[in-house]
Amino acid sequence: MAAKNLNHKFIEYLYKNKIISKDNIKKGKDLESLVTKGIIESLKKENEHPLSNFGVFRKTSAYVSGRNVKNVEFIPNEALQKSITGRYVSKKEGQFSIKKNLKMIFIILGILSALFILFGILFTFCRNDIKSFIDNQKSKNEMRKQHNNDLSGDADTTNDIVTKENIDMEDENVYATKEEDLVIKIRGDKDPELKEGEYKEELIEYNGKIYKKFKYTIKKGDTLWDISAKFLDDAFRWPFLHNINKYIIDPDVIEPGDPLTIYVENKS
Amino acid sequence: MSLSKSIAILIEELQINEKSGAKLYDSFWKYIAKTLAEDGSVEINGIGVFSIVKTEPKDDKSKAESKIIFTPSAAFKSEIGVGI
Repeated sequence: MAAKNLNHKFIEYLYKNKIISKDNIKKGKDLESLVTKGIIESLKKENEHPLSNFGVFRKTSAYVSGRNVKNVEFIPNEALQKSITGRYVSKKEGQFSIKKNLKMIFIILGILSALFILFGILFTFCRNDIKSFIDNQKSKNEMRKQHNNDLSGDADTTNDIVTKENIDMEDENVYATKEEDLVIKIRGDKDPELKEGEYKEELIEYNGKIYKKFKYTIKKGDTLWDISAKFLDDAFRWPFLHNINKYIIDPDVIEPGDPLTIYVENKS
Repeated sequence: MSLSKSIAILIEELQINEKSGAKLYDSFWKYIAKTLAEDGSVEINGIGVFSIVKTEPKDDKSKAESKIIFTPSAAFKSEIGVGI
């Protein structure tokens, strides 16, 4: 700061901080020169002059090349020295300084936090969809497992439990539907005696009721809808057919040549 | 006492009490310290220049520091009888 402005700025400082009254300011005294005058007067007689909490002026003398050289030095106050000069500057270029890069660190942390919050929000909204997908996959896996179990076992046992004499109620493959028709899981073994589109019919007894059991061989172009209409007189009962013939995983996909077992209560 | 001498001049010239004089003197140097920290250097008319200078570290282990240095004006040195 240039010396010419110092007095003016200092007076402004005094006024802003309410250190002296307006009357003294208006007097137009050069406060800077008054302070200087006091220092000079003091150092003419003394070797030392304190500058409040700023530091100390001290007159020194030293012998240089046989001559006594006098000088004046300034010794800053310790607290002032620390406050102004307390920073460490690394000599090596490129050395990472946390203080210098603090702003950038905070920006990066802020961006990461925002991303975490965003993912959290997306996950919250899509959680049900994710859960449904996982459940769907689980049930498909279970169905496949069950299907494999159904197809495993003794290949010689091709016949279902059909007669009153040998029906086994403990067999886990025997159970009833809501309509109380006889339902048995079959293994999907083909009957060599039946050609595609042909069927066998027999009567069986179960739980005090008589059922017609059809063993039908699927032909090309068949659908569970058509077969249900033909044997059950109701195309809308096709889920019942699917429920009996558990080896069929996808009711929209049935293969020509595969067997289909159908039970119908014999009311006649 | 030299401190009283500086304040005495302020009191006499400004016609203020001792307390105000001391406060004014303190305020002057506080202002100088503040200006030095903000601008890096400050010149006082009739005295000299205070400035902050950074010194490079001598080796990797030592720290770089900043120091306050004072360059007295020729008039100041002449007035107080030094530099001869």
